[in-house]
Amino acid sequence: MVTEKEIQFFAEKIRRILEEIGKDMIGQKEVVEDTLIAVIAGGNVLLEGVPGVGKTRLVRSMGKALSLPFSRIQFTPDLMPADVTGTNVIEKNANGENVLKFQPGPIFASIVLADEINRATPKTQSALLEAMQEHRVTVAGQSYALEEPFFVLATQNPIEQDGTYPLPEAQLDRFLFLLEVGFPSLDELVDIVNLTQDTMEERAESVVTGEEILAMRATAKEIPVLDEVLRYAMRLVTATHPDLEGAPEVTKKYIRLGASPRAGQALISAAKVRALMEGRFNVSYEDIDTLAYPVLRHRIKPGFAAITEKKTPDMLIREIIASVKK
Amino acid sequence: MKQKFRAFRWRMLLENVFLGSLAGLTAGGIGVFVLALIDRILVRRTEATLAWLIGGGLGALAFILIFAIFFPTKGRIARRMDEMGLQERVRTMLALEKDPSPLAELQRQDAGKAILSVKAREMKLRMPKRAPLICAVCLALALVMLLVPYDVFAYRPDLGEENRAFLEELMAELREELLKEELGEELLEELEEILDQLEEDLKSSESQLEQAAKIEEAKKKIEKKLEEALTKDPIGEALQHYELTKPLGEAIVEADEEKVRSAMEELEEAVLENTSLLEELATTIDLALGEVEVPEEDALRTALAGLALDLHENNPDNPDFEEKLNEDMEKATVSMIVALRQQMKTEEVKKKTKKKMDEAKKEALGQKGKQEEEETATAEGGKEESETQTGEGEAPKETGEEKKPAKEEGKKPTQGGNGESKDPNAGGSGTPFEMTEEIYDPYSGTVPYGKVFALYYAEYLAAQERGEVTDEMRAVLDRYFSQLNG
Repeated sequence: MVTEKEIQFFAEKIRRILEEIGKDMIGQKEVVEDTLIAVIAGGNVLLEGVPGVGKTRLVRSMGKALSLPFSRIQFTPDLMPADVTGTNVIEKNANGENVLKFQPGPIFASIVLADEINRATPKTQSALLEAMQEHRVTVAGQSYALEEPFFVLATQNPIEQDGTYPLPEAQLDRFLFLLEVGFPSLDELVDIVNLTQDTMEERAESVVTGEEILAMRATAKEIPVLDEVLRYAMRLVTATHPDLEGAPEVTKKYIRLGASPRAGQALISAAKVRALMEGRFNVSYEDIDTLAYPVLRHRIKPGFAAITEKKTPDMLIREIIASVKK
Repeated sequence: MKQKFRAFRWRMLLENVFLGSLAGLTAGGIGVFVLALIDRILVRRTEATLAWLIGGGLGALAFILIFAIFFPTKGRIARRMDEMGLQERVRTMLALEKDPSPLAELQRQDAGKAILSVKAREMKLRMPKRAPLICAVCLALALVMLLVPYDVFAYRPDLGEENRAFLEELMAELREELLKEELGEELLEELEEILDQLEEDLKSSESQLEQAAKIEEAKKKIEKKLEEALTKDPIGEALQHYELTKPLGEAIVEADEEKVRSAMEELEEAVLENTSLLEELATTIDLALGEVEVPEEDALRTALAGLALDLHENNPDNPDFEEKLNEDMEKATVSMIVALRQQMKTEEVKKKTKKKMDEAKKEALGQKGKQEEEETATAEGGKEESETQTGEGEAPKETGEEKKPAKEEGKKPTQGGNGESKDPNAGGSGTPFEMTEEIYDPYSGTVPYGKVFALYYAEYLAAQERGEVTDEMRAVLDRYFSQLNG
């Protein structure tokens, strides 16, 4: 049962985290907030943006602010699954016998930065699948649990497509949010340059522990959702399926593949955190509408018509929201 | 909090009433429009009562329906409040109303604060943007449809501008001539109905021949109605059968006010001299009225029946016997005089209408032109035959004395309007009804076509409507009448 103290604790921690990250991040307020929402909701985040807009910095800064074990994996085409998950190595035991001992890979951290995730081969990318969804890793038939909280913050560059391997749907679906990190404004750019003149090191200080993150997650889960708001969220998800009865025209025309049920779960979990961050004790339609973009944009597959008419997923989501609201 | 809810409820109730009224007016308008449209398709007049009933009924139904559907329940009020930027706080509060958890309590507190920030008067009235426009259009359509002549879709054989003008003039004159207030409300209503029907029949007639037949038919109906209203003769005659009331009966038949007054005075004196006559007089009047078949509500009958009743009730032993008798007799006298005046007016109207309709019939049959020419011709020749033709209804009686010289001169066929002599039985063009002097001889067994043609044709049409004319005969008769009419 959530108490008032816990609510106050939640609000205080959120304020502190944002404050700390704000020391390293200029602008990108929405991206920072959304990333925090995903972290508290227990989801993985895929950050998409051109090089140099602060994707990696954001993750590093967050890692510092959250005071959690952090590891970074730079994805390259020659990266092997074992490089991510770890592998069994031969060691001599106390008796001098050769034994296989599991050497954990960089995935064994609470915050994993999968940098340029689309540069690795699908085989390596899929090594993350189990870890992202079940928070476990299986190596040579042996399953290893990952320490909670665990989340993957991946980045990818949307423009350089040569030598990249687009993430398969199954993997994309495991990301709670796909956040687009845009280019900063002129003023933000000036501030960024000034900030990084002294040092490139992150200045954020640790303000929250792993246990506290889990407690905040538990608090957020208690936030009530009106049945009609829940139904609205689910209608949004089903409205992305062109083959379902009652699908909006925009879906039928432009979408090839709709969002999975996991999208519905993500939408509600994230909406609860957002509501609490906004100082509300209930989920609103606005929460759902706002979060529909990061939740759905990587889960819908635009069809040929959308590509030829240059309809972005965000444009399609906007139209779907409008049609469902009718 | 409750006050806030109440303020919002009132606001929403107001909105509901407004929306319901719009829906009611729209539904009522549509109802009246459809009714009026159906009436126009079926070529019948829209009854105001029915229109009000349908419009009002549908309107009330729509109002109640909308009011019930959108009645501001707690949930609806909460929704509207949330839509004012409260982000589902109020509805969640209602959902967690009975939840004792601290989070629910926090939520309620948060919602409470948020509710205080909104004001009922800031809530925008919600209704479909086009609702007032649709309502106005529906009402306008209904109004326009009501203003459209009810016979706009009726089949209108075009018999020419002249004929239309003739019909309009005829109907106007007939209405002016016939619809006199003095005839009494009930009779007026019946006559108006006959005239309306006649107007409709005339407009839908396919030939002037048919128009003449319709005029004849209407004339008969009107005469019958007026005849029924003339009750002085049967009542007067019935009174004459009894010695005591004979003078009164004669006075009534003559419709002479002075005689009626004097007869009543004589009766009063007789009763005063011999009070035993009081009961006899009352009984006599009752017996006389029992002999005649006159409607109960007839004014003359009512006056006499009232007198009889008063006489029955009076008692010679009463101290105010004389006074009451005088009062009753005076009251009955006045009532009878009023009734007789009304009947005199009816008689006058009857004569005038008959004359008017006869003229109209002739004109419809194309006789007028010819008749006028004949009148001119006879006036020049110092003869008066033409007059007998004008008042054809009265022709046999009125021309009784003049018919001999006319007969003598009229052994040969008279000249028609075009100056040509024609065989009366011959059809074809020109004036269809050749009048000869022989025609006016009541003993000759012949009658002029002009006199009977419309009557016969009306009878034929009536028989046709009754299904008494076979198809074979119909073709023959149609040809027969059309040839006669030229």
